[in-house]
Amino acid sequence: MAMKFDVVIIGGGWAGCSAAAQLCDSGLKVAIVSEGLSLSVSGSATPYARLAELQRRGVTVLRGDRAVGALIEDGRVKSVHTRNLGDDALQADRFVLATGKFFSRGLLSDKEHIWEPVFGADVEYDPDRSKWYDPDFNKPQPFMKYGVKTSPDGFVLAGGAVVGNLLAVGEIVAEGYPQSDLGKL
Amino acid sequence: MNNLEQCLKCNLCTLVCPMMEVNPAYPGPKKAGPDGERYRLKDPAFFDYALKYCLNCKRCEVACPSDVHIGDMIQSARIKYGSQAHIRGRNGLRDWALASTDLVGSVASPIAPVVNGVLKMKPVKAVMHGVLGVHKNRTFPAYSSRKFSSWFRKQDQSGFDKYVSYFHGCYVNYNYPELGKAFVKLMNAAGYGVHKLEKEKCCGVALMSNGFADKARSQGEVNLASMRKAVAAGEQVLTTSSTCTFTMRDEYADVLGLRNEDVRDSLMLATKWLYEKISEGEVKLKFRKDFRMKVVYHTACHMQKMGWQVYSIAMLQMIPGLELTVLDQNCCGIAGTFGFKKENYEWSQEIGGKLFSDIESSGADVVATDCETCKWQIEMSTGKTVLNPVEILAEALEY
Amino acid sequence: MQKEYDVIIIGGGITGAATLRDCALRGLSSLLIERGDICDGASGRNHGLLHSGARYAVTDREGAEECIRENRILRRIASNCVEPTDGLFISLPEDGLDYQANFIAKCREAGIDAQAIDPAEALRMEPAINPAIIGAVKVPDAAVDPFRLVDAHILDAQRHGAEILKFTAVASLVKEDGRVVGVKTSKGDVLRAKEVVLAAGIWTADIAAAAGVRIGMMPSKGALVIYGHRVANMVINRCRKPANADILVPGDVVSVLGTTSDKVPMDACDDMHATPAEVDLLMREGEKLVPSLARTRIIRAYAGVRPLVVADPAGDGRNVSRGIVLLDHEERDGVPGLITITGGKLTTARLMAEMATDLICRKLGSTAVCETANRPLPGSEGRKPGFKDPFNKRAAIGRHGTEIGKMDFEKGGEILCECENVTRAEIEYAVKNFGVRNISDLRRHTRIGMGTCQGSFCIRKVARVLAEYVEASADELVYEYRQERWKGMTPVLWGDTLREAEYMHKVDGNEI
Repeated sequence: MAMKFDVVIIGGGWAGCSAAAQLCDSGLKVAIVSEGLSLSVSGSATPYARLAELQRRGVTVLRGDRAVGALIEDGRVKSVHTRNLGDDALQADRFVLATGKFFSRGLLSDKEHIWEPVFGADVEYDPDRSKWYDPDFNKPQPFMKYGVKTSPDGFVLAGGAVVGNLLAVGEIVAEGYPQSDLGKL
Repeated sequence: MNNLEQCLKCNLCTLVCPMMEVNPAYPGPKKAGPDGERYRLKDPAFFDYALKYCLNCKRCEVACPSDVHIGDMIQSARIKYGSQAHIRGRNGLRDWALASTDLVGSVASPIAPVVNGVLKMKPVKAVMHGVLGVHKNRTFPAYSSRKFSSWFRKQDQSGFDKYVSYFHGCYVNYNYPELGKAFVKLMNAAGYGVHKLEKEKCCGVALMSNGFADKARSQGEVNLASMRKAVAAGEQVLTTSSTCTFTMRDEYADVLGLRNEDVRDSLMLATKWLYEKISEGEVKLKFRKDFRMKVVYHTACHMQKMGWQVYSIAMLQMIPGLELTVLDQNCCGIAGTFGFKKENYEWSQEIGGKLFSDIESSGADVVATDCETCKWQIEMSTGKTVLNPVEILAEALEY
Repeated sequence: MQKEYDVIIIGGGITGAATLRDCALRGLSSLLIERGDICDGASGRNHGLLHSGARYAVTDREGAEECIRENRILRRIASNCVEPTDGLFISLPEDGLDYQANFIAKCREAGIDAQAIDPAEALRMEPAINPAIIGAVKVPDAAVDPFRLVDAHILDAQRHGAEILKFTAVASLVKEDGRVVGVKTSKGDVLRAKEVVLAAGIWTADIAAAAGVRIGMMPSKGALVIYGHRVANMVINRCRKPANADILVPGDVVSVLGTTSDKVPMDACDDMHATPAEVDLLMREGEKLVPSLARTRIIRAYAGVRPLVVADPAGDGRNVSRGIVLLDHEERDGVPGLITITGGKLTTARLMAEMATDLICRKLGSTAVCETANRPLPGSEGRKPGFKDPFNKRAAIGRHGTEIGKMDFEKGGEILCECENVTRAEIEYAVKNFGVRNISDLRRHTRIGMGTCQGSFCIRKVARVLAEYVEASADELVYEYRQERWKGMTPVLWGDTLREAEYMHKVDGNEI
């Protein structure tokens, strides 16, 4: 069983909402999965102002839901599963990864690793944990630069290969890697 | 399952708590939940009776970027640390009556016209306000003179190839059999016969929030046993109430500690089931061409927590001639029995204010929602008719 | 004529504070001088364990007897600082039960009530412990809050006429005709006393050396980690020969696991921090005590230095005592006017103070007797947080006990640190009674910023309030505290603590 869309956006923060607004304006059928509120709501009139606006414009908003896994075949994402919808996968032609960094759990970490949990995207980080931070709190922190690797076109890399229909925008993209151009959708 | 320190103290939950906004005595989800829990683990004396103000709407959990089970933590603390008498306060009799939906319903149903009439009388309302602590402005849902279960017994549901089981809930049974009738009509139109569960008790949501956790647990066991039999017979268990569904799927395990994982996936709202069957091509519904209705959809808080409003919305959108607007998700303020209590009435109405004005200004004929207590609150506060999506679907059927 | 104190005590840890209190109660005019804040050294960097003595029963009978005696005294006089949790010594399959039988016998010989408990019963008492245990012994261990304990001693001393000089280092001991007659501070002031007591922990050796007195000390580093909440309500020990990471203590609302024991150079003692390797070792061993630690967030890691004394300074360091060391330098080195009290434990500090003060009194010709074992400390008159108190007061009552009456909750009831429920009233009390320069100092007296978020959310609010009282701007206060917390967070910077770090940086970068 599946729900079908043109584009499914994972992440309801500033980057995800901006992408959704842009894409639904161009007439696409869009769904956005937003686990929890984003820190970027502090600039909004009400906590859900941006998601509510998207809903009014016809975007399917999965609020408080979390992408828990994806089906990737032949270098393309086929569908994404969420916690609340269970077996009812979200199918789309294109997917946008906009889950942010650690706070928003776009990136997860343990003592030795940092990973991207939905698509298993390749993550740029130092394997030596003692290099993740600068001992001076006020200095730029290396972990703030970590994120997923993207191709020159801004498609996400997984296992070194390009995932042809998965774009990445916002803070999830590692510093120095290209952001996706949503105009191409 | 205690994930209190996944809380990063970002305070996003406090932005969406409806109670915090109107009642300064409520410390809010962060303090009542993970902050308080750390101290309660040290010493139960840190239990704060202000936790009784929690509506259990779970909006905090929906907003939490860390997946902290804030609402569950608060509910569990109320059960574990708050002596029941203290949670119930001075209105023990009233709370017991409000929580005992089954018992009160079976007494009231046979004499429904009398009860309904009496409940509307001003002197009775005054007595209920003064003595029982039920607010005088509050409209009681009318009792039906014929229970759904009595009506259903007379229905011939034989001859179908396939069956679903129906958990109708107290509201359908005692107050509003029309919804149950609509459900049966819809299922039959989809080619499915309907079975009642062997035994059905109130899901227990009102018992839990009024401090009767043990009773809720024993009723839950009865419901789960019945569901197991239905599932063993290959039937899905369908519902028409988002709160009953949420309670039995999630609160049974997370708050009451009942084991429900064997039936959880088979228990779902009728709209989700229908959407899936239609998407798979197994069910086709034919709708009337002349059906016209302007509808706004209100996402009940527990529906939002489950994330299943997408199914009810998608089902309504299948009806030609139905013009649908989805309202911003806001709490209506009733929170089950909370809003009936006279000490909560003002808060209840203040919380619902935003939703009421959105509804008033929408120009819609009908408000659709999957929760019966939202229905009472919205009908009392806006004068609009509120229908369950199942009723609208049944009415729009070409049958 | 410049004032001459009877006693000057150098060092504001538990030993110095307890000695100051004892001297004050015996009517001696006393001054304590501390280079930093109270509890800056080992007294603020330990387990917070009130030993029953059981841990030492097998190897050090005398130490064990001292512990159980002092344990009973502190429960009485410092009830607000001590939580009578009791402790379990658990035997895992790999430990066997041989150690246990001897352990119980030795405990009883030392007067420690050690009771063998059936494993199933032990799991009922403390469900968090490793279910694989094959044996358990219940002993009267307890949790003690070291900050609170030192504060209570300082307060009592001050209320009996003692003086405190904080944030002032001792540059040298002043000697006249071979006798120590006082100290010279780093600011150049000379303060005179009839007796000078060295109670500066590991830093004692350096101060003494400058006066020509040699004390052989060996710094031993102990690293610990703090888990974000209470996973167990009893002290959990391994029932085996003492080793690394085998004690878990419920400390207020957190759990503290430790420790390690490694010889470090003297010059490392001023910058103690836990390393990632130490954290890994602690985690590995800790999970054997309490398996749920594997899923519990570590909010920080830290380290302290044990001031171990080498009995024979000329020796190779193997002959080390963890017991109480009282040195009469007049007798030992021919330097009158100087006494050293060191070694020992947090648990036995009151006894150490009594021994030191007895010696001081003998030197000064005073016959005053020690009363510290009989008089309750400030805050310890037995009041417990209860349902009747407003919620914003309960945590403060837990921390300050009867001192709560000195806080103005009418005006300052607003909670500023939400993890630890610290109000403006408590901050004002701490500023007035203890004198603080910054949030790190304030933390030691209030638990401010010690909770799950390590101050990420509320520290700016706290800084704005504290800036009203100290000579620092709110921004300076925030940075000082961030940097201090960062030191403890970086060794455990993964998972939720890394998420917290991103949040902290965004809060400070005004991105939120």
